[in-house]
Amino acid sequence: MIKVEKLTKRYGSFEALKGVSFEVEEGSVFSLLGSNGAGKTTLIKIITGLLEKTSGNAYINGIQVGSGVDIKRCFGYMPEQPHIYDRLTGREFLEMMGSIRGVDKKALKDKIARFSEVMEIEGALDAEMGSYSKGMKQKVIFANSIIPDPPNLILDEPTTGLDPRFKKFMKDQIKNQAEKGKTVLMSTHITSVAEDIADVTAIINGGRIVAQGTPEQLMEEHGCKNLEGVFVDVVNDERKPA
Amino acid sequence: MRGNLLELFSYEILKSYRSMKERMHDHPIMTAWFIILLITGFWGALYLIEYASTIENPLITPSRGDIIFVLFFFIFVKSTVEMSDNTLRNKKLKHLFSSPISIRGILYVRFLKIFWYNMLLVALSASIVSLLVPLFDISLPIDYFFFPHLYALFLLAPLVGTNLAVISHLKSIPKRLVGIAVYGQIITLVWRITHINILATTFFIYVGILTTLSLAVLFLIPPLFLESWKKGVTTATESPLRLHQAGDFLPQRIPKAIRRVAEKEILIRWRRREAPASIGIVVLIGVALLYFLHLLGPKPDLDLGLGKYFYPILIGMSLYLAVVLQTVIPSLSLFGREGSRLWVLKTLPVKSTDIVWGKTISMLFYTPLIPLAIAIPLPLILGYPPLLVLFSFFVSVVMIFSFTGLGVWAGSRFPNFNEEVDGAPDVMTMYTILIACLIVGAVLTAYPMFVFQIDRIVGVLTIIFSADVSALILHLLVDNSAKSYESIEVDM
Repeated sequence: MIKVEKLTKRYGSFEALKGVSFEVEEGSVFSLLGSNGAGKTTLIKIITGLLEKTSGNAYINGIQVGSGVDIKRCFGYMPEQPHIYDRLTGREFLEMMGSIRGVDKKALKDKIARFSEVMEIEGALDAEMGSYSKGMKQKVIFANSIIPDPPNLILDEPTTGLDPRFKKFMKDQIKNQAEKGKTVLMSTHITSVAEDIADVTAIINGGRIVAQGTPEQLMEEHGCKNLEGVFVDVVNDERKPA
Repeated sequence: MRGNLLELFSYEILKSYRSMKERMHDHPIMTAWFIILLITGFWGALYLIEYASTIENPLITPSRGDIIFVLFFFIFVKSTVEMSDNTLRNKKLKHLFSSPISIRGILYVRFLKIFWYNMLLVALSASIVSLLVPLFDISLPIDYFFFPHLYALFLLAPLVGTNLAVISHLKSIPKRLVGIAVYGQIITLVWRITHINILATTFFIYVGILTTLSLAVLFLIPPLFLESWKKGVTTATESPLRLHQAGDFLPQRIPKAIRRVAEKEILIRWRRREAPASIGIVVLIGVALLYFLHLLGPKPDLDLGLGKYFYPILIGMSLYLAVVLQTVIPSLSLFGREGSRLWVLKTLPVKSTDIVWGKTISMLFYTPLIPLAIAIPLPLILGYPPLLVLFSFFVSVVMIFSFTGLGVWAGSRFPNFNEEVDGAPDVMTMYTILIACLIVGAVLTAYPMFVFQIDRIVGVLTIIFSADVSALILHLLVDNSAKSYESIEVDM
């Protein structure tokens, strides 16, 4: 479970997050929907401990963010950009990370074999990752986030830059993980992704959550046929001078 | 087209200026310290040249030609490294290659940038020297023609550096070897013309010919530039050494998390060919020491009583150089190089201290070679008593521990996340830490050396105590680095 309470982040006089609060239930997919620069990645980076918060709190499985090492066992993370070690092979990376996260050696080998087959990367697994395409790197990073079997998944724009086939695969995988009881927090700027897989969607704009609910609730409230309409409606409303 | 190139050049200069301004603004104390050290360093170097010129031994007394050649060589190496690191291994250059600017234009702008900064460096150095020489009444072995000679070579040095960097990055090994073998001769020619007794006009004619030749190479080289850049930024698809095949190569008694982080670092450094290069340099320093022995004999005939201390001083300087090159400089980019990949380490359930220890162990991994190549062989060959050989060994241990600690500390405290330079430290941080290493090394070894002169056994015990102190320094600095690492925000 992930809980965020009045989280703020300031860069000098610029306020990137303005008191964001929400809660992600166990076994559900929560999507943060927002345009570029809305604050999605900043929020996710604070929750994963990559950035310091200015005020407020965030908890993963009841443990306060930034309070030590144990919290890092509670989540798997996939960043927006697949920056990864070019000089390691995919297999070395997955083995090393899995081993540090305490996955048993034999189980780790089996999981890597299984995931690489499912993700169609087994042929490239022994090549250095510098030779991988962006999509292949994303697959390796996604595998890295789920192999240790953490109770929470935090995914920053998981479907961006993927071909339609793998985008569909990724969406199925995310839903599948939630069905297994995992808590999934993901950010996206693609409304259809949120519509397809999110149980709850929060629209974030200018560092604030401006609308929140199930996709169906949001569409009904705003009288729109899809989330794209809701998103445009909400963001345009926000931009109107008071 | 010319307008585009000028605009690109101005942009490059502006970018570097802003980055430098930002660093100075963020670290004002470090900047002030850097300026003090810079001036002190110049004073020290000038004093050393003055001192060396009073020793009447033609083999080691620096001549005008030696000084000119050393300065030429310094600028040449600096230019080669800058061209290799900032251009030929810079992935971001793809934006320029896909823009409507010719490859020739991109190469010339990169060369001009190197040339521009070299000129600034020369101007700054000349100003400091002009200030210090009359102030401290330093007498240098240079004459009226020294500066014209030097300036004549300052266009040639970055030209040779740029051309050789491009040639040495070519994909085709035969082309690379032939290019280096043929064009590399220019360095031998510069050494020759700086050392033969010729008229100033003849010197300028020779330098003019070499410069014209190098300009012609720079004019012809653009078709090879793209090949070199592609080679520089492309990584191999097949790994020469696979971890899952090599198995765990660090002792099992090291905690798993630390071991894994260290193994990752060691493997990456090996594959980037940094480790083999640093091993090569240490071996080369060892060979150079033996060459000195061959050249000067076991008891060099030097004035001022220097003869007795010549080899100990040489070993000390070589150890400093080897440790700095093998651990300190790589340690300075310990976290800067991680750059946008830092999320991997930051989201691992591993204590910050363990991450920093893992990285520190990877830096120490190849250091046993330093005593084996430098601290032990020469004293043994010189027939020094075993206690002195032991003393020399512990001096290397002192330097390895304390210097690595300083490097790791600075690498975590002042990381440079500029991906264009692959996280390499800025000049201020590097210079300050190199001087700090010199001071710490001198402090930790001076007293044991003094004691060793009086009583050898107590002297060895004292240097062992210094080695313990240096291990403690390493430990404390790694712990402190962990705090700095914790406060690094991954906002890239």
